[in-house]
Amino acid sequence: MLEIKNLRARIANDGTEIIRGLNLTVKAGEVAAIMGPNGSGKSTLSYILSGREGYEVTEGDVVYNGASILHLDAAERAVEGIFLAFQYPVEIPGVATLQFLKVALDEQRKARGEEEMTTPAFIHFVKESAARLGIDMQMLRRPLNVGFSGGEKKRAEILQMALLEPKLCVLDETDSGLDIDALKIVADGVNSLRSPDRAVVVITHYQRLLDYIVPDTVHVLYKGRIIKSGDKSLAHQLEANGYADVIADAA
Amino acid sequence: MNVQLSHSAIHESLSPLGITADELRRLPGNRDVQLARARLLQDLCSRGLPTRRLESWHYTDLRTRLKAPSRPQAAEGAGDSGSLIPGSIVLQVNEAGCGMDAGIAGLSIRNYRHLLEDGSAAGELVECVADDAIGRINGILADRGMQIEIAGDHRFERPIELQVRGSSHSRLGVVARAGARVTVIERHAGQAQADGGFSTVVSRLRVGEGADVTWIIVGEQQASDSHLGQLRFILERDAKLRILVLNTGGKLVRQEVHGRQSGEGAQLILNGINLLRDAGHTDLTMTLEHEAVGTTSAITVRNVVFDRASGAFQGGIKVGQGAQRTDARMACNTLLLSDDGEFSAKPELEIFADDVQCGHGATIADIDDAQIYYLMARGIPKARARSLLIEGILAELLLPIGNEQIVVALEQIVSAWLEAAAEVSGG
Repeated sequence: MLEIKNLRARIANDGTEIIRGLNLTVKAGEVAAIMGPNGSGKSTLSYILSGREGYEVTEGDVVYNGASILHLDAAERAVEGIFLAFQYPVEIPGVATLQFLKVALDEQRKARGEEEMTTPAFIHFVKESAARLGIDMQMLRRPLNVGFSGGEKKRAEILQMALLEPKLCVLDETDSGLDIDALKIVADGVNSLRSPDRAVVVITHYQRLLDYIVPDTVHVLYKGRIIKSGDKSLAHQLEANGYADVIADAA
Repeated sequence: MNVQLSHSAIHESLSPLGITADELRRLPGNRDVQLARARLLQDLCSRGLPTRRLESWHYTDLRTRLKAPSRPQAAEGAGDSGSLIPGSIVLQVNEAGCGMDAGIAGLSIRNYRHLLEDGSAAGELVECVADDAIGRINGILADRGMQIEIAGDHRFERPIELQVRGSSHSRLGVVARAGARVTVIERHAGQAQADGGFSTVVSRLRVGEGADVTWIIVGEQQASDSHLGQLRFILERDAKLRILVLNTGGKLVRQEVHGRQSGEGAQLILNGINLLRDAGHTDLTMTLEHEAVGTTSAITVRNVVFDRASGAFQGGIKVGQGAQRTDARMACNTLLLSDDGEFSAKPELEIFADDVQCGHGATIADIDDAQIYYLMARGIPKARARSLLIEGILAELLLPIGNEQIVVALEQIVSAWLEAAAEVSGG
């Protein structure tokens, strides 16, 4: 489903190279975890996959469902089914969360040539998904992410994911700022979206999240490259010994 | 008082206003009104239209910008554009003053033409601030309007919509007696006229003790229109006034608001939304005097600038010696979405009392890239993401209106405008 081939990318402004020859393949139905120490390029990878402006790919390619997506902007990628759950969801004052959800859903459907959802159907759809994530409808009447607690923000991200039904989900540090109860709710939400035709890339610092979202594969990102891949036991090994051994082996 | 003016001086002064001396003589008014008009005309002749050398006109040089068409089309008979929201009490301001007798309890309406003819309007055909070109021009030209009184303790759920159309010069007056409550929508619609229309409106509002008034000015001028508007208000004890000014552009638009909070505990909220595009120029100028103890004012102006448009906000707040415990806040935020656009903000505070809380600020910014990216990452195209963000920023200013139907109608005006602006500017 996702194939990253020898990718090199830098920050457009100052030319700093962050991704330095990254290779990664994620199959449909797979949950892949990407772990790595601070500054290894984890967040940059999520930005490049989702199409954030300000990054330049200098070499290599990102192939999604058989075609390169590098020429698509963030909105076009979202329509193609790529979803990024943000580490720091952005606050949008003045735009009610429900209104935002309706616009996003309508725009995606429109771009795919599907019919817009009627308002009653939309509200019903949101209510059901929100209830599963323990989200109060009252919260969705507030401006998007404004004044949401850390846990509320992350739950709202997962709600968006559930409603937009993407094919490739990238979760960027979804565990940061969550207490254990919120973590479980978020993980349950992600797990309920696991399906044979959907891939999930979990970017995380800690093994903790992977106790709840159990990955099929684990990859270690360091200095912009995948330096080691393995199954879920690799995550436990990292938790016990830190990144030093893996980095030393790769050097 | 004897007024002597040479023919050439009169001709020179009247020509930018698109009117001849003959036409001027035919305007309604008894001898007192004619004298008042002559005094204003003499001021106009001796000083000319204001230029940028005058402080209050520094950002809007009227002498170079104002060129009214010589043959204004009659505004009469223009199609009924309907009211902003259904169920409103709609009063069309036209020469005949038709539809004046609404026959509604608590509401009395007088045709301003009659006030000109019987001379009772003469006393208020005067300037209200220094270099009051709008008061002067409108005083010379006004031939229509209405004077409305809301009886004490009458509470109107239905808004009163005053419709002013095309090239015309109107005076509107509203007095809300003690304890009354009303929403007035002052709606200016330009008229498609090849060489551009020219209109002026001066509105006077008195909010009586404990009365509660929402005053909404919706300016929808055509791209070639020039419009000068002025709202003068006075707030009595514990009066509440919420003003919303929504300008959607025009070749030259200047809306002034001049207010006095003369009664203890009077409260003012003034929100302004200026939408600027093409080569238009929009100016919102406000002066406010806190004269009594414990009065509050919150003024927020937000501007969106596309294309080569230019604009200005001037806000002057004066807190008099006796106005202790005044709380005055003023902010002007501009979204500059074009390298060729410009906007000037000039907030001023003049404080003569020592126990007050006053603040002002002005910002100019583009839209936050992180917000655009977040919305795009959910599949919302860039242009739509931008307009959604702008609508959000502006929507906050509509909240004090309270009436959900009016808020929705104004939001629709804003989003239609943004859609049109984004199309032309290519997002």
